[in-house]
Amino acid sequence: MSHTRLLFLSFVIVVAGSAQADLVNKNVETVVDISSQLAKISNKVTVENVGKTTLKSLIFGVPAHLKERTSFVTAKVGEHLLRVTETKLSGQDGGFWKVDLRSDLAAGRTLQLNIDLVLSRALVPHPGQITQKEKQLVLFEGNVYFYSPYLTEKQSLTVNLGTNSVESYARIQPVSQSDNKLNYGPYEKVPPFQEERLNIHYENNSPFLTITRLERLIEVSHWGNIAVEETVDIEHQGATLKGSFSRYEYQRESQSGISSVKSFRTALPASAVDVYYRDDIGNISTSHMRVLSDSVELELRPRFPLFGGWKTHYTLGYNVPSYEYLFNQGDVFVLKMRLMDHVFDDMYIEHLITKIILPEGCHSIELTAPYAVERLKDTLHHTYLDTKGRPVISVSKRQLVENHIDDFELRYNFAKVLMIQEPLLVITAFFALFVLVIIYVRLDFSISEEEEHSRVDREHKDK
Amino acid sequence: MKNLCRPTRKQCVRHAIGVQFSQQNRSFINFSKMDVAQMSRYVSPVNPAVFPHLTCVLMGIGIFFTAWFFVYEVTSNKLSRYIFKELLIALVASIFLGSGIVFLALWVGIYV
Repeated sequence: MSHTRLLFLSFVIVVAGSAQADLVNKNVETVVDISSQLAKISNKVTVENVGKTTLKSLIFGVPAHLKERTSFVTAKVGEHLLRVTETKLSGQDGGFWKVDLRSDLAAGRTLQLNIDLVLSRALVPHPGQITQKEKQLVLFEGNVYFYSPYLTEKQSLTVNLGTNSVESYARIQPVSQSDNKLNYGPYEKVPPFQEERLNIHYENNSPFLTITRLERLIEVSHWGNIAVEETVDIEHQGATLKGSFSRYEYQRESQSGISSVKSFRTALPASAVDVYYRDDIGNISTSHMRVLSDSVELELRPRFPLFGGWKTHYTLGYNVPSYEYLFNQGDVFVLKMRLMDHVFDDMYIEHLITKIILPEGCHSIELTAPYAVERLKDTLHHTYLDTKGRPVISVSKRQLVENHIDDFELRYNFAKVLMIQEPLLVITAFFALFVLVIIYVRLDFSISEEEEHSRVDREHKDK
Repeated sequence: MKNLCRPTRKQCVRHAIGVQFSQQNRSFINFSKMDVAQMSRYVSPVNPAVFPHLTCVLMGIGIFFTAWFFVYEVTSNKLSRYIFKELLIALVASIFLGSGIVFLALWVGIYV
């Protein structure tokens, strides 16, 4: 008896927790930008507290088929970022996030907030294989309605395609196409967790480049320099190339291989110097560097154009002065730098590994990451003039987009006296060499004793 | 300024605002910890601009003493050798040559 009561009670709690009927989405304006390889969804939501109690948080989500593809989520009121944490709703298989509101939402009050999502790999090339002269068509499978556990009173949706050649799109009335936009809605009284596939099949020739692995190496030197080296593996994950590649057609016709990537631009920090771009063979000469007022722009052209399914691998490195990113107070140092940096616009990184090499003798190392990252095991790096090795802090994260470009803070202690260690090592080495010479000249390897005697005698005579 | 209209930069700027906010939060939570804003920017104890000059001067003096040392070693004999003079020249030579080598490494980009 008591079991059934407990079960019933828990059921009531679950239902109450998932429904949270105190909130209503008064108005939702959604803009979906699918003109690049990413799907950027921005929702302008006006919520109203129709209950009787004050609310501190609200929940929003994506349907189950988009859950794994969501790379980045942010919620803002005006310009203020809100804390967003992933959560689960029982009985629902979609992905949900909880937003902590800055100020409590009293009963009867409304609040306008912006909820932005970035989906990666949400655009699937369809057909998956194209020849060199064909255009790339992709299929987007989104959700028409704002996926929310609350009732939505009114919603409109605009899809920005970046092109006006659309093969087909979901006709959920009312819908209209104007130039390179699709306008859906307004829809009224949308029940909670409403799903309706937003299928759009359209032309998209933007670069579908995926960085399959990005290894960022930051080497801090207390002699005033921070060296950054990025080892990048890129794969074109759009529609793969069917048939052979004709260089002749590629050079001659501008429409040939339109979905392929010839070159891309990387933005480096404004203070970057000594830039190099190379791979296993050596320097890749097809790069251009332009120093702008707020950044150093690098135009990188791989050794061959990248078609669907093709890969490339390169290393990009540069130096920045320490005063840009390193701060100190006594023996406490803080390195404040980007966990990852820009590689190309609308990029998608599958796997990022950032390694930070600190000077020898650093201790009490503490890392503050801008978002949840996996901290790998600390290792030691051995290079010039090292005795026990330099501490290396490594972190790893998967599924990143441009919006993840953010600063980490690495706090450590370092006694400045230890900087003398390096010159001392060289001085000791030289001194040991000289001592060896001093010892060597004192060794007597001669086999005839007489000669030595006679020479000494002669010198005596001279005197 | 013309590049500010690029999406990347916009996002970067937007992010900078976000970072500021989260930093405020962080400093509020860890009140005992020193905030980056109160710290001074770290500059090298030796200005990187003088690395080439330091290299030339220190290495020059170092090579002079090294030469003196070796000349002394080969010209003196068992009787005329004076161990303290040898060690003194060796020490001075190694100090100048050693620090010169370190600055040479820094000059050419081996940031030790």
